[in-house]
Parts: sequence; C-alpha cells; structure tokens
Amino acid sequence: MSRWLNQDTLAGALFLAIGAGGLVAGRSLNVGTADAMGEGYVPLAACWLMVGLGLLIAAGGVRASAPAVEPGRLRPLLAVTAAVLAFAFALEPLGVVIAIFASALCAARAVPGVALRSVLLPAAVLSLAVLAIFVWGLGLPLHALPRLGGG
Amino acid sequence: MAAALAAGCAVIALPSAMAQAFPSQPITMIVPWPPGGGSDIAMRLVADAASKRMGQPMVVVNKPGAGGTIGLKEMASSRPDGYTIAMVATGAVFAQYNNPNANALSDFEPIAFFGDDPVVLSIGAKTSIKTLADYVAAAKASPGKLRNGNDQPGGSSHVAASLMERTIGAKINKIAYAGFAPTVQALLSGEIDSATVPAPDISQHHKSGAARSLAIAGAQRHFLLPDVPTFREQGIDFIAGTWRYIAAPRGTPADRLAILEARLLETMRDKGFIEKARAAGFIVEPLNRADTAKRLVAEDAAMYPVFLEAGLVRARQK
Amino acid sequence: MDLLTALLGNLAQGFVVAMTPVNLGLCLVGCLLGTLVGVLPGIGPTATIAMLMPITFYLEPTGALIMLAGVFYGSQYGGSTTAILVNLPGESSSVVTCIDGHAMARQGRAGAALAIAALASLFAGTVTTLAIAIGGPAIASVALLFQSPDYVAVMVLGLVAAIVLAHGSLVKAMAMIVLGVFVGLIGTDVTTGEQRFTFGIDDLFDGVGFVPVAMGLFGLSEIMLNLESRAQDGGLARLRDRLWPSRDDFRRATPATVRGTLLGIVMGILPGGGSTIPSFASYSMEKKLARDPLRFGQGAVEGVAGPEAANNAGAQAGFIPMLALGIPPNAIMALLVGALMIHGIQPGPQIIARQPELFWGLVVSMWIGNLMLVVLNLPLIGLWVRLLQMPYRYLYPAIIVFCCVGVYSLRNSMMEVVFMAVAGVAGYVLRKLGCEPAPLLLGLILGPMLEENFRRSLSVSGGDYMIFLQRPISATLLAAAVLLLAFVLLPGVRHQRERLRDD
Repeated sequence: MSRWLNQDTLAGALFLAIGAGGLVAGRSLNVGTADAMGEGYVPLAACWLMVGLGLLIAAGGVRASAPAVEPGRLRPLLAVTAAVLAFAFALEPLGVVIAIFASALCAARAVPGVALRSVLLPAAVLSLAVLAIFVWGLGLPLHALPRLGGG
Repeated sequence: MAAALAAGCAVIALPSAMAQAFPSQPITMIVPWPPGGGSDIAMRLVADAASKRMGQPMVVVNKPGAGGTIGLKEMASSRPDGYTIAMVATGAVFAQYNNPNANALSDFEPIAFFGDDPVVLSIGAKTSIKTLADYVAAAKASPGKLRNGNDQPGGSSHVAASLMERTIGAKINKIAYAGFAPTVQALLSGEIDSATVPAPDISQHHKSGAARSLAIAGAQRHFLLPDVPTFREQGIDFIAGTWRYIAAPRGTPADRLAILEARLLETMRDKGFIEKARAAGFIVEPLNRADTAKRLVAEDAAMYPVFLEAGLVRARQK
Repeated sequence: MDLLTALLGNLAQGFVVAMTPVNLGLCLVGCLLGTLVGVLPGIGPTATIAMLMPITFYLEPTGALIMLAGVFYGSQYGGSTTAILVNLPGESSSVVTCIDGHAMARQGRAGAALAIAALASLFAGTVTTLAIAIGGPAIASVALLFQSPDYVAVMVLGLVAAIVLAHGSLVKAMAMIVLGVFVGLIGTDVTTGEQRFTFGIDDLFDGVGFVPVAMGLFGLSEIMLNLESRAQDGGLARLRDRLWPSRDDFRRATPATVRGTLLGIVMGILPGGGSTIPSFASYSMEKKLARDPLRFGQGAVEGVAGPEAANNAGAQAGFIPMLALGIPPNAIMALLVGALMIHGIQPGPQIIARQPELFWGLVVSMWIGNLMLVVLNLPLIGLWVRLLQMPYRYLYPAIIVFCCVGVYSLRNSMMEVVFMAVAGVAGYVLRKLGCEPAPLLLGLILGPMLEENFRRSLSVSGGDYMIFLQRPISATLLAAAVLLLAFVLLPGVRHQRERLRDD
C-alpha cells in the first residue's frame, strides 16, 4: 500500500464521508436562523464541522511521519459482530439458552481451529450463569426456551 | 436440538392452555415507558394487586421507546388471546397522527380506564401575577410574552398548554423542557413565569411557597392540592393532562375481555388499592370498557386540532 | 460551636436509626445488589430500583430508602470493576475509568487499580456524606441559581475539557467530539418535536442510547483487537508480584482524589449533572495538572483515582437537591422521590425538620454503606484479578453474552443489541485509525443538553445573545472555557512543532 493510505488520510476521509452523508440525509430539516433555530441548525452545523475537521485531519496525512494503519484481520471483527447479532435475533423467538449457544458458536469462529464440540460445555455453563443471575436472581422478563402454544 | 426442544414444548403447552379456564398462565402487561416513570409505577401497583384477583401473576414488561409506540406495537401485533395486554396513555393519541409507524387507537381494545393526571397551572413566587384572572389578563395584554414551561410539542403538558391557549383566547410563549423536574426547577429559578405540570411534581413547592398553583385542569380538585381550585370553579371550562387505560390487541375474544375487565375493575375499586395509589400521587377513577371508548373519542376530537395547528400531523390526516 | 454540637447530635440520631439490625441488613442487601448490577454491563441501578419498588411497600420508609440508596451507590462501585478488568464500562460514569484503569490492568496492575478505585470512592463518599450533613439545604440552593444560559456555559466548558481527554491528535479528538454530538442529536428534537435522522426507525426516536454505544465502542472493539493480537490460551494479563498499590501510587492518587471529590460534589448537585460529567471533568483536570501528562492513557493512577472519586461524590451529591429541594437531578433520584411518595413523604425543604430520623438515618447509612462496600470489595480484588488469568478463549464469549443480555434489558429491545454491534464495528475502525472513543462519548452526553439549553436560552431572551454574558455564572464559566481552550491549544501547537522538527 502506498504511504498515502495512513491513519490520518483514512480517518479524515471517514469524517468527511460521515459529515457529507449527514448533510445529504438531513437536507429536508428546517435550519431556521441563529436566534430561532430549527431542528436542523445544530446537526447540520456539526456535519459541516466534521467535513472541515475531516479535511484538516486528511491534510495531516501528507506528512511523512503520519502513522500507518496496523494491518487488521477480518475474522475476529466478523465473528464478534456475528456473535452479537446472533444473540439479538435469536433471543425473542428462541429464548435465552439457544441465543447463548448461537452467540458462543459464532464467537468461537474468531480463532481458527476451535472445535465446535469444545464450545458446548462453556456455553452450557454460561447459560446456567445467565439464567441464575438475570432470570432467577434479578427477575428479568426473559424466557429460557422457545415459547410456543399459549404464549 | 432446537427443533426437538421446540416440538416438545409445543406438545406440552398447547392442550393445557386450551383445556383450562382463562387465565391459566401468567399475563404479560406491557408498559411502553421506562421503569420508574409515573406510568410504570401506576401499572406496577395495578399488576401487584390484580395478580391476586386473576389467580395468575401479572408480569410487567417495560418496552419503552418512541413515546410508547414501540411497546404498543408489540401489544397490538401479539396473539389476541388475552395474555398480552398493555397500558395506553395520552401520547398514543398524538403518535397515531405524528408517526406513520404507530398504531391507531382503533388497533387496541380498551379494557378499563385507570384515571387522570390533570396538569396544574403554577407560577413562580417572584411574578406579580397572583390569581388565574391576573394570568389570563396578563396573557391577553401582551400575547406571547408569558413564558410557560412544558414538555416537547406533542407531549401531554405541551398539548395542555396549547389547549389552554385556545380556551383563554391568548397566546403564551411555550418553552420546552425535557421532563417535569427541569421544568419545575426553571420555575423556581425564575427562568419561566408559569408551568403546566402534573400535581405530584408541583404540590410540595406550592405548599412551601416556592411556587403558587393557580388552577388545576381536572374535573375535581386534587387530593395533593386541596386548596387549589379547578379551572371550571373559576369560570374557565378547561380540562387537560395525562390519562391511562389498559388495553388488549384488537380481536381478543369478548369473553376474555370481559374477564379481564371485571378483575381489573375490582382491583382498581378496592379501597386498599386506591389508598396505595393515592400515596403515590395517583387519582384512581376506573371506567369500564364502554365508557373508556367514549372518553377516547372525546379526547381524540379535542386534541386533533392542536396537532394540526402545530403542523405535527404526518399520518392519518382527517 | 452550637453548629457543631447540633451536627453531632443529628449524626448521633442518624447512627441510632442506621445501626438497627434491620436497617443495617437492608443497607447490606442494597450494597450487594448494587455491586452486582454495577458489575454486570448494561443493567443499571435505575431498572433495579424500579423492580424493587413493589417490595418497598412492605418496608419502613427509612429502611426502604436506605436499601434503594445502597443499590445506587453500590452500582457506582461495581461499575468500575469491569471497566478496569475488561475495558467494559458497567455504568456510564465508569467510561473514564476504562482509559487508565484498563491500561493498568494490562500492565499486571489490576489489583492496584481496583484498590485505588475503591479507596478513592470511600474517601469521596465520606466527604460527600459530611457535606450533605453540614450544608445540605444551603448547597442545594446553588442549583436554583442555574438557568439555561448557565448550563450552556457548563457544557461548553465540559466540551473544551473533553479535548484534553485525548492522548493522541487534538484534531482527531475534536472530530470525535463533534461526531458524538451529531450522534447524540439523532432522535426527536425537544424544542420542535421533529424527528432527526431517524429514517422512520421507531427505535431511534428517543435517540441513540449511551450504554449500547459505550459498550460497543469500548468493550466489543477491545475484544476484536485482543483476538487479533494475542494467543488464546493465555490470560488477559500477567500478574505482577504485588497486588496492592505502592507508596508511589498513594502519593499520586491522594491529591487527585481530593480534587475529584470536590468536583463531584459541585457538579453532582446540578440537574443533569449526575456522576458521568464530573468523572470526565476530573480526568481532564488531572491530566492538565500533571507534570508529565504523557503518562495518561498508559496507566496513570491519578486517571483512576480522580474520576472514581468524582463519580462517587457526584452520585451521592445528587441526594442533596433530591432531599432538600424535592428536585431530582436525574432519573434515579426521581425514582427515589417516587419511593418516598408511596410512603406519603414529600421530599422538600421541610423534610429535615419533619422527618429528621429519615434524613439523618439515610446520611449515616450512606457512610456505613460506603465502608461496607470497601470491606466487601477489597477481599474480592484477589478473585477479580484471578479472572484475568482465565484463558481468554473462555472469557471473551462470556463478556459478549453478558453485554448482550445487559443491553437487551435496558429497554427489552433487541434493536439496542443491534446498535451495540454497530458501535462495536465503528469502535474497531476508529481505533485502527487512531481515534480514541472517550471524547465521542462525552460529546454524545453533552451535545443534546447543550443544544437544548442553547436554544432555550435564546427562546427565553427573545433571541438576544447578550444573555450569556449578562448572567454572572455563565459569563464566568465561558471565560474559563476560553482560557482553557487557549491553554490546551497553545501547548498543542508547540508540541506539534517540536515533533515536526524532530523528524
């Protein structure tokens, strides 16, 4: 990768993109005047500020000393995100136990070479802990298993 | 494994639910507001007391968000079997016109009315205004000058202030605060001239003399402010505030609605319950299904023009 | 002298009330429960107190309040534990503790960080309790002097201070604050009732929650980065030979604790203040005062002691306006007002005269509770530190699941969990690009309050900007903000120049 793709240029581009995106998404908001601001005044001002700061940050990236981006790995990023989303989508229809197993299985994919079998016992222990603390202990309205029939 | 478990549950759960009399399992009461607010406390009191009469626990589940819309949508789309009910408050009237995602009031089957939480018009200790008549005169003399603290447009206190403007025929400067505690604080610090907030939020300051309550927008005086006359007593026909009722999804069988209605009305008419609710600052004035429905029609008719005038009607325009 | 005897008499009365076996027991239950919900991410004291409300019908009002108050300040203690151990702020007020607390843990000094946090909290709790006892009503009336323009000035000062939070690039810190402000403005506008950037999603109408964002930005992104870099069978950190803080730690932590406590008391009284803003403010102050600010972010003990003292003092100072004025400065205090009203007690100026046993009993029980918490927590430190020795491949799925359950329980909404996932990815990307998450969170908290108060100030003044300079409080605070900004920017420029010259 060229030296132009460093932390500063990329961060600058990111803020620039968020600011510009906000300006587009908020174009229908009423700006008003400084003494009688509409709902769009402050958010759109924040977007312009992000555009400006984004440019400033990116400009710093042309320095030779700008720090390089440490290479990342996609696998942990995707696995952790999937673990959270699996929990989110499984919880209400399938109950907390299945949601935990689904989440733990996804999380295990973060590191290569983990046998799926070895996830089951920790997931079971975790399920028991969550049920004991949150459901029986604190009385949160979560159901343990899928609710069918009368519910 | 999931499928086997699921099938097992279904086999056990289905026949027993059908065979027994209603209710044969816990009833979920959705409160579409966060834990700890007025609605939550009121409904936890109801659920606590009603569980004994239902013979089944009533479990309060908070599903807050979007002014009650999220929780009510969950109730309206749940299976109409009487096991999922919810509390509906004033904000639902606004939501159906403002938020295209919100349910219409007609998606809910009223079960029983809980009671009113009327707003009180109060002034700070430093103003020269002393009575309601002074207040109306001052508002008329310089329209838009009196600063009144209320919640955001569409909120119950803002609606009340708007309805008051229409009733007295004069404009005031409605200043929005995020919640009643900051509104009261602003009244005491002198940032605003008046405030329209519910009685429990202002009563102690009226008693201590830090603020003065001029009139209450209820049909009767409030037990927390026995010396504050109603607007009607002072010749102004004005009633506004928050109210709450309990509802089920549309399509719930009539016999189950009747059982829920009977148990909830028994609960809310119980002396011990009324006392507990009063201690927490609530007026309990239960109404049955038919009267609740009538009340809702009247409220809807009164509030719609306010929303229209404020430019906040985005859906279901009449 | 009379004042002192009266005070001693009052405190003695308080001891009589607080030391009854029932009240001691309730205090202990409250503290334990509070520590538990504080350690668990997401589920906070507000929900816990709401769930306990029906139980309090059956208790004496004083006992009920002692227990509920215990849940509240207990959660402040618990929140810092996960922040230090796994970079997961259990409560919003412990976000700042993550920065240097977790850095200390990674250097194998988790025990020292936990002990300093507990002792700083105890000190803050003790001083705040005394402040309530001596000057409760007088201090409370300060809150009544504040109007919208003054809050604007407080927020501006806070945002300027937030820039100091960063230990990297100043411009990036500013951009992160602005991004935080922007995210904080998503939702329904209080002044007009209009929706902003909600894209028709109901779950965004009330704004983006602080907790899912904080847990995603800090906790989840931390896990992602850890999994990239380390062996999975080892623990998170090696244990150094000493568990306890060194003499040097105490020397650095003591003045920071004192300053944090004072800051916490002053800011905790103000409505909307709570315990989060004081903790940020204290961190900024310590960093500015330090002779070697570069240590901050690398495990500076002052960065743990100051904010922990500030958040505990702020949390307890919130009782002052609640009890003495009947004005709850935050949601938890509003709940406690509700709990008192159920028993027919109206908080307010009369409460000390009419219910002295309740007022003084609570004050003394808060001190006893703080002591209990330290006694409970110090022996636990060894256990917590051992948790870090656990193989990481068992630890991280558990952290993820606890975050999910906790965030779900905030609103019983799966969308909050989804928001946390989004924040996790955002946190990963931003950290890879050298942008630190803490300033974003402060922007998220302050942004909406700043906008609301700013617009309200102008609406009250009829569009006259002079209102900010005419009011003595806001004028003074704004002047302080300008000075601080100059102070922050000038050395920054110098620093930059030096770096360029060195290259």
